[in-house]
Amino acid sequence: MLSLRDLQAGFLRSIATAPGPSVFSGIAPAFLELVEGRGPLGSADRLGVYAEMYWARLVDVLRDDFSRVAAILGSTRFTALACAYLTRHPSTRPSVRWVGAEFANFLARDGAVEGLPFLADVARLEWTRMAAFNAADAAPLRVESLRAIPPSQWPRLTFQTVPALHVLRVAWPVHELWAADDAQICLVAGLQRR
Amino acid sequence: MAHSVPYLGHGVGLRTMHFPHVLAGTARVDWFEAISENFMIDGGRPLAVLERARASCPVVLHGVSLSLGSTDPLSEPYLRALRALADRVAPAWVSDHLCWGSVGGHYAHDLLPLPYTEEALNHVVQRVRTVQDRLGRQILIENVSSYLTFTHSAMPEWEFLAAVAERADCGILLDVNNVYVSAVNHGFDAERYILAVPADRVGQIHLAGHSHKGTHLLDTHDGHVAPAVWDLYRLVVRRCGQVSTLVEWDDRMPDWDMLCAEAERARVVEAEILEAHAVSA
Repeated sequence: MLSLRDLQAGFLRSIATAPGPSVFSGIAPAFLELVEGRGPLGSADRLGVYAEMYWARLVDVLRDDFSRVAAILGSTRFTALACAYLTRHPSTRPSVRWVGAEFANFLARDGAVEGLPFLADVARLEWTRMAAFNAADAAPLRVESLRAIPPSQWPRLTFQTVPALHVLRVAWPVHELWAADDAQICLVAGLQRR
Repeated sequence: MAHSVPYLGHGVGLRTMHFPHVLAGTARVDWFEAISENFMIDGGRPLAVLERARASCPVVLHGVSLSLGSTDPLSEPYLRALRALADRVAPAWVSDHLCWGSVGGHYAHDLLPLPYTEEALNHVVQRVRTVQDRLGRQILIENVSSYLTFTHSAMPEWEFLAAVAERADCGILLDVNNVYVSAVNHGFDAERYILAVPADRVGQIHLAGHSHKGTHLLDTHDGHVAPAVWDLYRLVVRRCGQVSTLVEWDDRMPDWDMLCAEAERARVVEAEILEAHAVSA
């Protein structure tokens, strides 16, 4: 009998190998024999439910985390790119929040989109904004605290930034794209498509 | 030793959409259930909201990533983060699911079904014990909705759930909607499931909506609790008495009042059953 570990490996391989309309292509015939196929849903259909959910859920997470990248690409192209990313970089951490950790790097290299060289920088900005929102809280420096320090100690003073502050170096003025409304985004995407 | 957790009444899930109500102090419910992973962060608004909620009513932590049934080692960083969050929040209890979600270090971020075999039973019992040791508290395990079962399963899900709870000495979070969804998808009797669950271990109940997909039901948490699920809830109350009950609603979100009305409805259903029970006793 198949061990629990082999069963789990076979299950995940079946649902996470091939995305989109070809969800059934990853399913090994031998594995199907382990799945009950009674009722209106056959064995492959039942695994297909999990396969569809796998891709839909993770693409949705990426779409939420990189909403500007998604707006620039449009739904179809974003989904294809997100699936390619997930195939290349399966999630390796318990919390789904980290699924997109390598997305910007992917867009800069293997997943680069012709005509949209700034896409990776947009993704970097979106990811960094999220990191800032989730950073540890810190009390900002107040002028009274500074006044309370005797001048004799000033030469030894150093300033520390709050954890939420991130410095991002980008090659493109992506802050403008980030702030753009959907009509402007369409214009950028349209220019590229022509 | 059976499981004992306090009775908290009828609560709702703590979701981003309702954060403004919590911060404004206008979110009045018996209790909140917070998804643990959403608050495993260093700081920011979600944690501020959680602390505010905690100041006004009891909170419980409900995880989705423990992967109790996985054959991968338990994630040490995750256990540490969960322990730290529990120490900070002092939840009434901590729960996760009777399922697996990762293999070979690859996480599916889904609640995947286990085969109900002796091997899986021994494995899960050991894992639950380890988690309880690491957290320094008993946990509740929840039955999941499923869309497939395995041909080599040696027992029905309700026997597996009861055996894990007894042998690992943990509590049960009985998701009534999940029982119904799986019963329809696999053609078993939902009432039989409810009647087989050890009543003294049920510490919490989940209610939620599901969707009809033609060939099967999908656990979507995107609408009202279905009439058949209310009927099963009545059966649970008849069998278990008062159990803390929570309405889950995660998609096509209702406004705050509508969400609370669903929790109120659970309160009314529970009261009707207990009253009828008292009269007939």
